[in-house]
Amino acid sequence: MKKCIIIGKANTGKSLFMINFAEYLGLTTITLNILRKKEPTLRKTYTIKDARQYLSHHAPFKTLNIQYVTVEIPAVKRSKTIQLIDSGGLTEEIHEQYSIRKSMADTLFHLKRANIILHFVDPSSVFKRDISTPGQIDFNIASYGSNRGNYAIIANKMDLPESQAGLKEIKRLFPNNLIIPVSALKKTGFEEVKAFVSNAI
Amino acid sequence: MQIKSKDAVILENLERGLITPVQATIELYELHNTPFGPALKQNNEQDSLIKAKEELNSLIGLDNVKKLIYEIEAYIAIQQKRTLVNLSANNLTLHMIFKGNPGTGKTTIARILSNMFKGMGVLTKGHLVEVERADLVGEYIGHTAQKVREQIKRAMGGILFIDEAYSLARGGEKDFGKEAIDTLVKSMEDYKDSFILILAGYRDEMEHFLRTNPGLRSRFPIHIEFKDYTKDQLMDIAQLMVEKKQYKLSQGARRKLYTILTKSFSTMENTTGNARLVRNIIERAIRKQAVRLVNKKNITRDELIYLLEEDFREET
Repeated sequence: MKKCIIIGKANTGKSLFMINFAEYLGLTTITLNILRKKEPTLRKTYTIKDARQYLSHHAPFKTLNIQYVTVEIPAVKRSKTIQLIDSGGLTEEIHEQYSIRKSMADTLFHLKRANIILHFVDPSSVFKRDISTPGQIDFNIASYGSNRGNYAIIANKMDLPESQAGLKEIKRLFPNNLIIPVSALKKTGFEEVKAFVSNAI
Repeated sequence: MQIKSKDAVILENLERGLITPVQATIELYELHNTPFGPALKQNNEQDSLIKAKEELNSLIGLDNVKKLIYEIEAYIAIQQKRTLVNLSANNLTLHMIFKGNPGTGKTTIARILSNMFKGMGVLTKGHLVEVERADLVGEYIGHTAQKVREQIKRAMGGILFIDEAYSLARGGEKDFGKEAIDTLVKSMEDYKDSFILILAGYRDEMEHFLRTNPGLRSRFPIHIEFKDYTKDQLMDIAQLMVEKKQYKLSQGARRKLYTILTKSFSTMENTTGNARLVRNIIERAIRKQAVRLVNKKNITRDELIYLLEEDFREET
């Protein structure tokens, strides 16, 4: 099964995107597979509404474990099942909390194994100094991803007014990459993401 | 197994708080982009770089051009490496001037460069848009800017190659060529990372062109001079051309070709030292061989392969 990883800095809206995108692809409940080291995979089923409430949060570092849902993506001949993997957020600096550092190591571990990379950035924070402001790590992921192929930058939070100017700046910063503006909250831009993933499998 | 553990060490260091995530991504990146790293799927981009370099190496002569291109390649690679480790990198202005006579390899090199730059991630599409004066200069006021912008739009993500660029400054005060130059300069500033502009033409004319438009010279950091080919180089080129087409030259044919080239060098026509001249001679010879053989019965394989002296005889 192909793996599509959602990666990016903390608080860029990765988990909410996973849930809402899964819903957009026709799921009515979210069966979450939570990967844990040296322990069996934990499987939990939520309704969409509960998933949103429990899994995503406006504060950073809500997601600490690698978790995935399986979704159907229409491909050239027939639809294919892929793993949509949500990962813990990344930071620039060494984080003081062990659990978060571990989560980041797991994220990079799974990045290497993924077939498709959706790299989340937050255009609304470009001109601020937030935890989600695009930085060096985003450039590194971009050069890694460009080399690997099947890589797109997802500019999330396009529903916020500051995002328009931020998107322009992101386009300038990553001139050689495909950039898809979306709003995980308002569910816009999902069509393009689906097309990109469908193309990649 | 060795490689796997290297990966794990990086992640473990990250987990233990010994390195920053930024450092970890750099180390992982370098681990996987060295030739000895685990085989990541080689994508089209690296492919196109390798192919372009092979093609460059297979070209006859052009030693100074090759040397300069390898310099540019190293420069780009180092600037990219610097960005990766958070050092300030010079921005890459790669607009170029190609000076040389027709048939000295300017277009060929431009095409190879476009593929190389695509492979290095400098250009997104890496296509070559070849234009000349007529494609850029309009017929009424405002038409020119529109035409130029159209061509630049076509060239986005690739190379815009303007052959005989000096002709843009030819027509004097009232000519729209000046407007074309101004629009080009403006676009170079506006989309400086999105396309590469190459101006090509005869050496003396290009020199004059740059002298009369002083703002231009500083915008083109790279000047490449294409020297005329020597007689021997042209013979090598001929050899390569026929081999590519799966033909061979007989001894007599080689002698005859050499005589033709010598004659061309002594008359100093402007086709002297010109690979296009060789191409035309070869193509004509191939046609003549076909005429010679078409009504013959029992043609052997060798006869189909060899071009003979008589095929190179000039029409009178």
